[in-house]
Amino acid sequence: MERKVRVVEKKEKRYDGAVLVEGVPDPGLVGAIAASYMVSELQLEEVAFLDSPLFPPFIVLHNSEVLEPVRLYAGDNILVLISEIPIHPVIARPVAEAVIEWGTDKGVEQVVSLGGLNTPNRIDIERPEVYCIVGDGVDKKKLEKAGVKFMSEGLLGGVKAMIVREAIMRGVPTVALLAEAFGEYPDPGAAAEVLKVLASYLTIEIKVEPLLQQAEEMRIKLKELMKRTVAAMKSPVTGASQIAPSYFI
Amino acid sequence: MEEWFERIRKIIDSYFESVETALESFFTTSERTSGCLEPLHKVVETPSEVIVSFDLPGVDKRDISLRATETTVELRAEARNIVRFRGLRGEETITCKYYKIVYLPARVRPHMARAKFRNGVLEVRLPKKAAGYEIEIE
Repeated sequence: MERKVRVVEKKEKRYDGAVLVEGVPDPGLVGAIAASYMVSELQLEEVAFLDSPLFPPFIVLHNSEVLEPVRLYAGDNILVLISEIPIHPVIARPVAEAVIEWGTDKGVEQVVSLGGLNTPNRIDIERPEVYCIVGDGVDKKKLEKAGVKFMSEGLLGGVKAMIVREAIMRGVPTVALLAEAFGEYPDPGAAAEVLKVLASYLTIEIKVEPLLQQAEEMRIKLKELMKRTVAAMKSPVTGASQIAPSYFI
Repeated sequence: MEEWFERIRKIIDSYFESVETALESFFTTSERTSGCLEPLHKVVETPSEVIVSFDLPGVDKRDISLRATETTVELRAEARNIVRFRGLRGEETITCKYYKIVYLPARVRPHMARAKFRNGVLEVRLPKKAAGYEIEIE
């Protein structure tokens, strides 16, 4: 059967032993902010994009360059997936399958999903907690040391859930790091907390201070993407009953 | 299969109201011309309250004006700085003022409203006017 989503590489390359970090738009755009910040802070290079007739008809312009909206960047032992469009729940599964199949074929040995947990009393929380979901083969002690809390109950939905599921099904060690966040407002503060945990867990250096300094401007600029992401998360799925999950990541 | 494909395509297309607007910049055309942003906001109804919140990055508490009636909440606010962004026409700036009138899902007691503002998020809690009458079940 023809694939509904495919990964198109700019040039063929292997990524043996790499960690694939995913940060597509989600509650509070936590994953999206964190992943985009990693791309600029670690000076990662664009290596591939996702192509699908199911994606909305967008192209993106950055510095006069035409870009695809869903892109993969790479650096030293790391791959980062970002998206400038929300991934609609009806295509969550083919997107997840395409990304994880491509990643495992290329030698990816771990998947980390970054995101936010819609937290109603976020306004009263100065420093958001980071929760995690782990699959087999993950160094839990390292995560504990990084200060995360392990989630034990909940219902997860959306593309992040499908990426986590697909990676676990393929036997790839998988972690989802989810910070308490405003569900419907961009939350760079939550993204910074997720990045701190990620940096500690992967033993890499990511300075979050510049991210926090840009936070206000970022929140204004991400307003439209946030609106579209909320609409995508709430939109009904035709032909299937829509169950409101307790945690929609 | 074709039918399924078309159906999904329609669903996806339906929530992207305007490709042109999205490509234009971070802001809608009306926001760019008026210089007045519609803030992200949320309305939650509980049995006893209506809770309205607004995302107001770059705003100080003293620059917020908030008025409520039994059926509406009206917000005006001004951010500290202008926002610079790169749109299709190159570098542009926008003076960041916010305006929004929210129509409430239930009548409230505006004089009993409470509001708090933390890290650029404003939350207004408005007690509902009538909690309803208890009906005896025979």
